Amino acid sequence: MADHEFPPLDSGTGGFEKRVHQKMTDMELIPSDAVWEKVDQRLHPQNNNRRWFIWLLFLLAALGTGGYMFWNPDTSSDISKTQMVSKNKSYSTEKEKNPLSSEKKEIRRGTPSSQTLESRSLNSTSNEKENNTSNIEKTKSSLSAKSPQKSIYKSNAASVTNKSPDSVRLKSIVSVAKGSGKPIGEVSRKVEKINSDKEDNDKKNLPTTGQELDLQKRVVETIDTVAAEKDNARIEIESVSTREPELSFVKSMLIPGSVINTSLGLINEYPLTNMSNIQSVIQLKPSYRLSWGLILMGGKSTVSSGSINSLFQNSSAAFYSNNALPAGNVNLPVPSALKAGPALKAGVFVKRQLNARLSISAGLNYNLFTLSNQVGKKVDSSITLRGALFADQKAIEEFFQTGNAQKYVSRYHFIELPVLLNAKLTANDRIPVSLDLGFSLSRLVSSNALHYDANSGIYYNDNDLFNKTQFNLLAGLPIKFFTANKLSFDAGPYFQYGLTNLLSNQQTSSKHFIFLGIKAGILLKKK
Amino acid sequence: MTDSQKLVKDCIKGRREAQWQLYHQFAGKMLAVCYRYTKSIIDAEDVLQEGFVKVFTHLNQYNAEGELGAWIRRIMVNTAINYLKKNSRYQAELSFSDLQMHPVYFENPELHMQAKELADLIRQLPPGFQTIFNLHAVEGYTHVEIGQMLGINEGTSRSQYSRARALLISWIKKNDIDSKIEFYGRP
Repeated sequence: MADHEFPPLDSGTGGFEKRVHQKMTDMELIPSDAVWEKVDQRLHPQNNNRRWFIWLLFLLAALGTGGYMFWNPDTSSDISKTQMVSKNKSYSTEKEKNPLSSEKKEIRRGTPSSQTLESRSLNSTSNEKENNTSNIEKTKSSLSAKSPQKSIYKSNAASVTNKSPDSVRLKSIVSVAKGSGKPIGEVSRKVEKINSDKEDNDKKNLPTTGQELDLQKRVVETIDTVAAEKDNARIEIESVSTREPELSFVKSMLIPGSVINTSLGLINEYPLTNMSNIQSVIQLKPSYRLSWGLILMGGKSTVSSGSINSLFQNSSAAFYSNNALPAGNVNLPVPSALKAGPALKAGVFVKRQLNARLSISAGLNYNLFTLSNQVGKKVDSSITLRGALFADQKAIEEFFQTGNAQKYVSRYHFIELPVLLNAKLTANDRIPVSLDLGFSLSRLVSSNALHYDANSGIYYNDNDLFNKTQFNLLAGLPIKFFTANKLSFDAGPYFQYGLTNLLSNQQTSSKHFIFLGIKAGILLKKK
Repeated sequence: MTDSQKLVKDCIKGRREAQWQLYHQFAGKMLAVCYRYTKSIIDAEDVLQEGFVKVFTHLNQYNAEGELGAWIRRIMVNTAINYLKKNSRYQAELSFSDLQMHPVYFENPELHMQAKELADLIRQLPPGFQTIFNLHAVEGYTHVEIGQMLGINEGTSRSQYSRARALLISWIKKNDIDSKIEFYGRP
């Protein structure tokens, strides 16, 4: 090649400008997804405000539950201390302003406060402050001299945890399975009789420790008898703390589905001669057994480029497998956007309770995520693609042209192994909200997803261009709607974000799968 | 009604899908325009974003008889010039006096390689030279128009363009023979 074959660069003929103009007008760059996201955000601020509003609501809900949890801490550890300090003070006042009718209302709501329960227990003991005070003192002094009874109790209930030398306090959670109804009726009648006896005693102002024990025995016998008669009327007391027999709480057990948390005082303040009788029906140690369940989720799946704003996009740029543009002044076709599509998750899991509030679960899920876009006509002929992704070249047997001829639904089938930590956000069951946080490892089993080759202007399927193993972040806010002895049902919003880039190539910005939906779960407990 | 007219109409109505289609139809070429006027791809994308917001908000002023691409391009160029004027990093060097090669940030964006070399050479011009060269040689504005756009007189634009052109030609000549072949095309 010789220079004289071209016009000199510095000639004034305009050849230089022409060539510069031609070269520059042919040039194209592919902008990052963030540009469109920002443009879209500025063009449709109302939608973004709505999104922020949703986030704000979510934040407020989280703060609300957090605040509720803070102001209503779990009573399991603190109440016994409070009771020890303040029981004498609350004794008279609670008695005066705590009629039996209000107790029952409290119980029927299913979650009586510890203070109410304490007052109930105190109220049931006596109508006279002085008598009660003297009874307690007597009981304390007698117990201090009755260490053998303590040891008997400990031997019978080896699993009881002594939280302090002075008190063996156990939290009781009593649940009654809904059976045929017959046992409940029987217990009800018996307990009503016991209650009437108790009220008679109260009227006679004869609240002695011996009578209390007698009442306790009768309650226990009632429970024992009914449980023995009917297997399905299983009464499980994970732990018991009864300073004295509490008749009304037993009665409340008869309300179908009711769950009662009680912390009634110091167990070593009364003789425990009859504890062996209730070993068969009362479990004195909280049992954190393995349970299993089923989940089903429905929602929407989409892909994000990783930025915060892109999390809310309903569409995303196509998967470019090759964005090397062809030489020359070519009007390139524009690939259609990938739109969010319906998604489904289903699976099984096992769950283990770690403590009163925390549990961990692991499972196996099947995930079906979908995305859709507009494509042109399908072509059943081979074409050879060339590009940086392919060592040499790649033959494609069928492909789609660009266009709006049809809607193409890309399906992604994943197998997922999730591990979730579940934290109960509320102290009691009045607002049974939990927070699920965890990770999952998923594997793309198959997909019919399309990639776009800018050089050829076609869509084609090639699953080798995906990162098939995905690491995901999981979060959920399940609310327990129903619980019984053998099963519980919860549901709530669920979010999944793919931390791994879906695309194995680096041709465009990263793509991350997002799932947002509603989770419904059934937990089946061991009998 | 042509597809282009329908697309514009839908965009004016605020339909997101239409806006997305229009954006993707022109974003590649317009980013190349912004790239030539700036020193980094980040700045170029900022200009592109600002430009497209203007495009969509002023689309009702578009005269359907003209070419849509040319109309968008003019908006991009004006947006780029405003960006240079507002950005202190560029403003300080719009004095048209620096003849040294200006450092640019090579982020290695995906583009047509032959054009990329030339574009990168243009981007190494001082900002003032770079702007005038782009406006005259690439966009085809006259020196009178450039003077009005940049607030300088016609003579300054003409002289600065000559110096920029000479500088660019010298850089092209300094490059190896392959660059020259790419620029002129193989005989």
